[in-house]
Formats: sequence, C-alpha cells, structure tokens
Amino acid sequence: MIVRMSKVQVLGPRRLLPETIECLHTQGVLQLRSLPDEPAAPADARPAVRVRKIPLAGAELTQERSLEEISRRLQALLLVLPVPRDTSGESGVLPDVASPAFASELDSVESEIRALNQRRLALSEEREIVGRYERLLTALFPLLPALAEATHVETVGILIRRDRPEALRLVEQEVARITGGAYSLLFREVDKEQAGVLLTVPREAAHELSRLLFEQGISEIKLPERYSGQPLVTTLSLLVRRSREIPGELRGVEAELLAGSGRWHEPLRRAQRAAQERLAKLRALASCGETEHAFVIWGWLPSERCAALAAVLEQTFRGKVSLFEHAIREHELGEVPVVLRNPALIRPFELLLSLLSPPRYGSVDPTPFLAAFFPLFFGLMLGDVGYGAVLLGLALLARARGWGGELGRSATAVATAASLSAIVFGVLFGEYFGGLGEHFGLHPILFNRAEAVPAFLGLALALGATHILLGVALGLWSALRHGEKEKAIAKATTLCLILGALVVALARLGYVPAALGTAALVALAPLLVVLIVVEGVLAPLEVMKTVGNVFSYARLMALGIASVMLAEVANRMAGYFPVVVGVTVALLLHAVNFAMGCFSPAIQAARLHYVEFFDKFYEDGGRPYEPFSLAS
Amino acid sequence: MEKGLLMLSAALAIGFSSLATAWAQSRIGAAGAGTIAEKPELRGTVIIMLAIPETMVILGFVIAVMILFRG
Repeated sequence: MIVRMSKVQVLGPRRLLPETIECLHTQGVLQLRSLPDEPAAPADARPAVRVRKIPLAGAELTQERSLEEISRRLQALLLVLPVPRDTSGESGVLPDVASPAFASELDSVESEIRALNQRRLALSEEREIVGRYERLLTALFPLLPALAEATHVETVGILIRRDRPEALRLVEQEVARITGGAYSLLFREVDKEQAGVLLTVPREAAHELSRLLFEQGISEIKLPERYSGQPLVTTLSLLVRRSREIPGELRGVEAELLAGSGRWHEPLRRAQRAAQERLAKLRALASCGETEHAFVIWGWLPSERCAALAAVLEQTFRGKVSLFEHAIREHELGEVPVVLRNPALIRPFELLLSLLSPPRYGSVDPTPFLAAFFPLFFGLMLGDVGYGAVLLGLALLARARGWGGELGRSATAVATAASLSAIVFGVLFGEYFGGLGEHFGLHPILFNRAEAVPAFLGLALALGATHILLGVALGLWSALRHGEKEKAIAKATTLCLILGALVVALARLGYVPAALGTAALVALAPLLVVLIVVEGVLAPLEVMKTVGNVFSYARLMALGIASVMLAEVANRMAGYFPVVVGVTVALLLHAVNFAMGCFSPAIQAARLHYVEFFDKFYEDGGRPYEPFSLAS
Repeated sequence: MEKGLLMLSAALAIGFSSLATAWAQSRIGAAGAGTIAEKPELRGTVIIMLAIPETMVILGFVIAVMILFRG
C-alpha cells in the first residue's frame, strides 16, 4: 500500500533557521519542498505577509561553489583509487572539508595520486602498443643482429600479405633498380596472413624507397611515436626490452597506488560525505522562505511521523519552532513523494515495480496483485516438479550465500515463490522433468498439458479474463476515490461489457444456459451506447483492445506446452543414443529447457502485468521519497 | 484433402504471425541494443518491450490450435 503522506510547514523565528535545518537533517524524515507558487491574492484582500525565498549570497554562495568543486575532485579521486584490500594500516588525516587548509592538503594528495595514476595509464598504454607489435618482433628479432653494426644504411620494415608473393618480387626488383643492387632483404612469416620484411638500403636511397612503398600501397611498419627518431633496428630492440620490463614496472606502480589507497581512500570518502552533507544543508537553506522576522520550511513526510517530528521541534526549540500540517490539494498529488509499505511476504515483489516509475500518490499500489499473480502465471508456464525444485534450490542457495545484497534477497524471495508455484502446478499436471514422473507414480491431477490443449487454453484465458476484470475493477475503484464520475461510468460500463461478452461466449460453448447468453447479448447494445456517450466514438475500440488483452494470456498455455514438449524431447533423446551419450544429451537439453523455462516465463509473467493488467488502473509518475537526512 | 487444408491453414496462421513477430523483434532488438549501450539502466524495460510483439505469434498459435482442434 501507499503510505499516507502529510504536507507540513515548519515555522519559527528567522534567527533559529540554521539550528532548525540541523535538527531536521538529524531527524531525516522531512522531504523538503521548494517555495510553492501561491495564487495571486484578490485586489481588495488585506495585505498578506510576504514570504520570499532565501537566496544564497556572499559567503554562503562562495562556500557552495567551493564545496561543489571539492566534491567533484574527491569523486574523481575515489574513482581512480582502487578499493583497499587491507585497511588496518596507518590512515591519512585530512582537515575539516570547509577549512582553507583542506584545499591545500587535497592538492598534495591529489598530485600524489594523479602522478601514480598517470604513470599507470602510460605503462598500460605502452604495454598495449608493445603487445600489438609482439608477433612482429618475435618474427623479426632474430634477423636484427645481422643489421645491428651497420651505420651508413637505413632499415625499413614492411608488412606484406602472404597470399601475394608477386608483391615481394616486384618490390625486390624495384629496390634493386633504385639501389643498383646494393641492398639486403630479410623475410620472415609473422602469422598466417602476413609476412614481415626488413629492407636495408643505403641511406641516400631511403627516401625513394619510402615513396615506392607508398605508391605500391605496401604498408610500412609504423612504430609508436615515442619510439620514433631512432633507427628501426634500435627501436625494435628497445621494444623487445620494454616488453620484458613493463609488467614489473606496472606491478610496482599498482602496488604503490594500492598502498596510497589504503592510506587515503577512507579519509577521502569521509571528506566527500562531509562535503555532500554541507552542500545538502546549504541547498536546504535555499529552498526555505523568510519574512521580516520568521522562516518557513515546506516539506512532505509520512503522516505517522508528523507527531514525533513536531514533538522533537517543540522540545528542542522550547515552543519557538512549530510544525503545522496542511491538507493536500488535488493539483498537488503529483508532487507528493511515494512510500510503499507492504507486509514482509509481499515486499520483495516491489522489485518488479522498480522497472516502472513509482505509482502516483493516491493511486493503487499493485504490489499485492503482483505477489498473487506473478508466481501463479510463472508456475502455470513452468509447471514441473523437477524444474521447480532445481529453481527452489538455487534460490535458497543464493539467499543463504547473500548473493546480490538487498536486491538479491528480494529476487530470491520472488524466485522462491515462483518455484513453489511451479512445483504445485507440476504436481497438478503430473510433470517431473517432463514425463519422467510417471515412473515414480506421478500422474496428472488437473490435466496432461501435452494432450489437453483446449483445456489448458481455457484455463489460461479464464485466468486472463479474471486478471483483466480485476484491473478494470481497480480502475473503477480508483476513479470513484478521486471523484472522477465520467471515468468511473466508463470503467463500470467496460466491466459490464466484458462480463457480458464472457457470458455470451460461455453460452456459445454450452457452459451457461443459452437464454442467459441471449440476455447478455441484448444488454451489450445499451451498454455500448452509454460508453460511446461518455467516452466518445473510439471507446468501443478500447473495449475491443481489452478483450484482445484477454487472448494475450494464451501465452500461458503456449509457453507451458513448449516447456513440456522440450522436456519430452530431452527424455526421448536419451533413448536414441548409447546410455552415457544419451544421458549427457538429455541432461544438456534439460539444462537448456530449465534456463529457458526460468527466463521466458518470468519475462512473460512480468509483461502480462505491465502491459495488460497495469494499463487498466496503474497511474505512474510518482516521486520517490528522499528525506533530507544524513544519508541524502 | 480437407484435413490437409486445415493443417495448411494452421501452419499459415502460425507461420505468418511468427514472421511478423520476428520482424518486429528485430527492429525493437536493434533499437534496444542501442538504448542499453547508452542507458544500461533501461535493460529491464528493453527486455519487456522485446516481449511485446510476441502477442502476434501467441494469437497465431491460438488460431492454429482452434483450427486443429475444432476443425
């Protein structure tokens, strides 16, 4: 359910504003609200007390800018620092975040960490470059000693494709022509596609050789800029040496960075938190209003916390600061923050709502319905004792290990409910990894999903009709609560139309007397007229869409049949192969079916809620409740 | 002959609706991949969006079942 909220006003003498903000910050229950726009007063009204916003000025403005800058720098530093593994060592000390000494201390820590980080980045980049040339170096390095002594020649490296041997012949002919035969050519395969060639030519012929290679479209080996300006032979030797040195250097720098993190990570994190808190208080100040002598703070808080906060303010300020509760007007509903509170068993299903924006204040919280129908739909689709038991085991294991933190706890609770539902439906359908249950005396109680397709389709559509009718009924209830008469009439008419259509369909199928079907058919016409009058000529299309939504629940049957068929295929596969191979193939297929059987029903069950069900009543656009607190 | 036509009709019902779903999912999937690359927090929404066109093949399947079982 959505917790009832109160719109409150905190009033007190102007001089007590900083202490009041401090007190509200400590209590952490009030969500601050900016100065609301009041409607213009009539001309003949008595002059009202004018409330104006408190602008940040002078020292406060400077402090805000300074804190923003510090917070940004701290955030950047914390991103650079690795999370320390050992926090038992000596920790650094930083002065108060608002003191002038903090900035100079931060400069020193920042330059130390940044220098280390830049060194780490440079080494990583160099390692990447050297790694890129590794194959080439491995191939050409043995050739280098033959060229190392020569000083009056230029060595050029080229890469040629191995499937074009004629290119090498052509290059050699041209080089021979340019140099008059005074050259040397060393060839080595680099990989399956490329070969490396070292051409040594007299220095005066080097320029013409480069031009020739460019004209022929042959790629000359371009070495990294930092290694340029040296002969190729020297550069390649240097690259080989660096490829051996870099890993050690990188480990050293990372160890230094980790040591720095052990010393500074926690103080920096604390400083950032302090900066954020001070900023929050300054900004809170800017959202307050003031008169000549008093201050006003507006905000939202859960109604049940109003009395406690009022008592704290009364006690702290000896009656000089008071809290007043005001009625929430209709146009303010979109502004009210939303707090969901559900029983422990239902609460995990709020996770499924997190994909959408929260429900609007004053609307219906769909969590209880999600808790009831999501496992039901999931179980109907998976419907297998074996798969359900495996899922239950995995969910309990994940819960016991605490995987995924708080989010993981909610997800495992949802998975537990869904798996239990799958086990129950597995018993009803007599399925244990498909038809294997027959060997253990497990027989269908409800029906066999693989054979009773029409019955399964009927069950799916009946559930769909129930779900959709519930959605429309919730929409009707919501409209009545908000006093929206036309919307309520439209919802009620839609509800009657769908019920009428259902009776007609059931009469055609022979489940209800034909006379009742005829009566329902006759009643549909005036209902349609009412709907058109209230909602317009397009309203019948909306009803058709709603009826179509019911058919969408046929996916419960489709996925259920797919699941049981795949399990059957896995079981039969075991018989087509020798025992070991057959069992392995069957296990693999069951594993695939289990993975699909968990993923697809979860998506489809969620989708049936989001698209078909919520469309009938859900009002999104709620704002999350973010109280002004130490954690904010 | 009549049974063959019924089977063909059922196959067409599910075949064409599958093609339609596949085409729609290919478009949504491509757009969704781009969306997730820019805003990974929308992953859940994209997966749900991807499941929306499956209604077509489900309805095709229902028609096919009705043809086969009521024909």
